[in-house]
Amino acid sequence: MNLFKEQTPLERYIAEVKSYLPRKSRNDIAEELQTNIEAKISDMQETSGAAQDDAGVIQLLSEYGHPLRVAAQYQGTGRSLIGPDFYPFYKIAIIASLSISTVILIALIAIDFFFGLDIGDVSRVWMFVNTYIYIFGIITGAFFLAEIVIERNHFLDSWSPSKTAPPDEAVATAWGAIFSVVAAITWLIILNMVNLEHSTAVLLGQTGNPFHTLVFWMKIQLVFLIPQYVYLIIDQNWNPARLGLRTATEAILLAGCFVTQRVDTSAFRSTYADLPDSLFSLFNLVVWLMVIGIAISIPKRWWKAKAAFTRSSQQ
Amino acid sequence: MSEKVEAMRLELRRGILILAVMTALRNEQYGYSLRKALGAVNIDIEEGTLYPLVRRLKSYGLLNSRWSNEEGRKRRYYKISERGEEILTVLKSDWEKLNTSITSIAEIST
Repeated sequence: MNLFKEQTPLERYIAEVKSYLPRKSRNDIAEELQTNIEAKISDMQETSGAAQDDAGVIQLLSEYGHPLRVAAQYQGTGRSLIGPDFYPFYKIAIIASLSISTVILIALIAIDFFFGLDIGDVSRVWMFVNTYIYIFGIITGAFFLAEIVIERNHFLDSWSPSKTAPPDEAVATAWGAIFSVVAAITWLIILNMVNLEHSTAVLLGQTGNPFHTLVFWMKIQLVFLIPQYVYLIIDQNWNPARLGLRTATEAILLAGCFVTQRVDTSAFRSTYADLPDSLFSLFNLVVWLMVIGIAISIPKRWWKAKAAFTRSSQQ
Repeated sequence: MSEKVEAMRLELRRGILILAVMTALRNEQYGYSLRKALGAVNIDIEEGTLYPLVRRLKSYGLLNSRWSNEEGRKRRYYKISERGEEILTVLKSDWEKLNTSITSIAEIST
């Protein structure tokens, strides 16, 4: 004996729609949908004068479409992970980052092939997969966070034309900000090719490798910098909070440069005796150039922001 | 008809549907009977669009609803609420202004 009543196509359809609906309202919606479809079947029977068989009901249900799509119609206007305002920029950032990273990875593999540069034992396929996962994760996370901040502060609602600064007083253009997002993310991906264990060693003060030390501090800086650039896409004006955050971000790298210079490299250099001294000299030069660059950019940015603040207070 | 034109037509109808649904629900209706009532005046709307729309209007407090069980047929009936009537008046006024504007534009450009 069959203990279970066989379900009709309609019941199976409703059960599937129900499985995609939010728990809170699924019974209510499913019951209402079922009664409406039953009313339609009954109406069709009255019109045609014949009972609808399973094939007729299945035909009718196919017009309603996939249960997931039917359920989605009831979900209202819930937000997607990346909303429509940001989506075009998000798409550009993803495409551009993937393209730049692909070119860089192919170049690295070519260098490995022709010049024998050791890029580690990691599989070439995994290198690509790993990089793409990073790109999707970081860009999506950065855009998602920026959107939450913008929505919570009702930025788009409180905007007015008077808040638009002349180009020379803006931090950047929207397109410049997109480029910066892409460049920063790609740079972070490249830096992440240095294993995490090295960053952990830097964090614990257990490394004598100046390269790993600088990479670690650059990563920290980029993590703070990327959401700022994402925010810049829609608001290119200065405000005190942005100026403070940007200065703090630069201070992070500045601190990183000084820490890097203080690393005791004697043990490292004796381990890798083949490394030429010129490499260390070049590295030191780069670090000092970064220090000088930051030292010049901080007052320059404050000066530019001061002009924008003065202008906005006069309005 | 091309897909783009069809998309434009859908876009145009989307806003008007709320007005049509709220007006039709001055008389109490359940989902399928509402669809038939709209179809009778040449407003064809897919059930997958109509039923969620009705529920959304209900969640905004613009409609009232009740379950009924007549002759063993369970149905959920909807009717416009007091708040809904107020909103409908505003929407209708907007619609009439738009209609007048479009007519004026059409007259100027012919």
